Amino acid sequence: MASADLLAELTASDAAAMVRDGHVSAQELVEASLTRIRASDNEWGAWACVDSERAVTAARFVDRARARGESLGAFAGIPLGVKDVIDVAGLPTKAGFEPFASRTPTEDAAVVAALKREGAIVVGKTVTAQLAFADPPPTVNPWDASRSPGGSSSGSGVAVAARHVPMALATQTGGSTLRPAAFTGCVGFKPTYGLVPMDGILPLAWSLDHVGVIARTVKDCRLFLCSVGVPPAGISSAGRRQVRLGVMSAAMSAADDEVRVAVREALERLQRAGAILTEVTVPMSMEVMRAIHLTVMQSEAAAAHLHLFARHPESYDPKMRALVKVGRVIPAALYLHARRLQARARLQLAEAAKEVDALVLPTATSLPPPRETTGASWFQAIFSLSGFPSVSLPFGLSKDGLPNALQLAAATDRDDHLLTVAEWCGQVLGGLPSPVA
Amino acid sequence: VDDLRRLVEDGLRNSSDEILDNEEVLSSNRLLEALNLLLSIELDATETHPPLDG
Repeated sequence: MASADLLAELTASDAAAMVRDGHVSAQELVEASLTRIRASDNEWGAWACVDSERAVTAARFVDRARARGESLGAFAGIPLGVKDVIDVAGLPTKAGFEPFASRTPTEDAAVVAALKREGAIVVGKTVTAQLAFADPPPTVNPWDASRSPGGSSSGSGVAVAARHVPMALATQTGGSTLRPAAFTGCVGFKPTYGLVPMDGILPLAWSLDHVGVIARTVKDCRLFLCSVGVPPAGISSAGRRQVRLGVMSAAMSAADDEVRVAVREALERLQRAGAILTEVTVPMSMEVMRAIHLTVMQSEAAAAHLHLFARHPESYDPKMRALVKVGRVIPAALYLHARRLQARARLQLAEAAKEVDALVLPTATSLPPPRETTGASWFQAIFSLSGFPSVSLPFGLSKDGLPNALQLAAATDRDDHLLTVAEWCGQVLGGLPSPVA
Repeated sequence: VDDLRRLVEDGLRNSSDEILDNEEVLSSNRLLEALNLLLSIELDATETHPPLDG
């Protein structure tokens, strides 16, 4: 049997292939995951709960199926973390919200059910900022304990970075998948709006909420997409010719100096490897897009929490409480004006994306900030607003040893094409080592 | 448009006795900034329809 540390370095795709080929058992993988969680989660705080017993039972089920000669799914035996706003039958969905302490669903969220059908094994629920918003949870960034791991999918990012699991589910309304992925040195992927159903997931703002995934490679993100019912589009043209990247100049200008310089250097490496770079401008300013996003999110969050807030106002963390309270004063006419502007933003971004394979910009305005905040969401929120698929790719470390990341995005339903571009970029830029020895 | 702006400002002012912490003040200020930006943009009557079905 391989050591827990060796098994932890496997990506989801590689580990699943090894299970199918009989080189490792699902039980070994799951027990290695549980061993690593037990050994280090006191330090990182990535997990809201761990379900050791059922995880091992499910792993044995996969191993028995293999022994019987049955065909195994794409995620056979893969330990999976699930953000604690996503329902898993039999485990509480607490969402960092005390009144939900005993809210235990009897059915899996649609995305969890889809991954379980492919053989994935839920080892537990990962910590979220309360109700998937922005109040920092106690989770620690393994690259630097004084820095934020991002949010709101903080636990999912750290669980993957710390090699507890090769993949974890996340959600994104502003930047809650891509930002924690960036700050923890992982790959984050948010598919097109609506492509992965939100059934069984606590909403924050319906027209912005997405399911996302955090993993170590783009290949694993593609496997995720296939496993939830989105077939690959075939050989993408991006793999056969020079990749065209549209650099979003407004975002480059708005990023912190250190981030801008690092992303510019990464883009030069991509250019030397054959990418064609063009500057892209969008008529609508980033400030207006941010204003639309905020107005829609505040309005919808106030509606989503109308009765819950009335019953439990004292249980809301400060940022979440402010979001709901302020959202309640927005008139319907202003909300709908913002929704119309959201449609205009989507059209303008689609026009900008038309002539390139992917738009590119820094994932976040800054490197991981101190833990008082989960960081700024507005670079990631552009694509929550437009509903475009987006990916965060890690590339090297800053002078202080913090992960750098860039963001790629493509127009609606070009998920598979985007992943092809991201895979190529990831090969050129290289991955990151584990932040934990 | 001015009426809409006043409606939001009045709404925030009327809840001001409840607005106690810094996060709520910040959130209110962000909304007012967003409001000014959004109301400065005029959409053509037929330009876009709000996608009410998501």
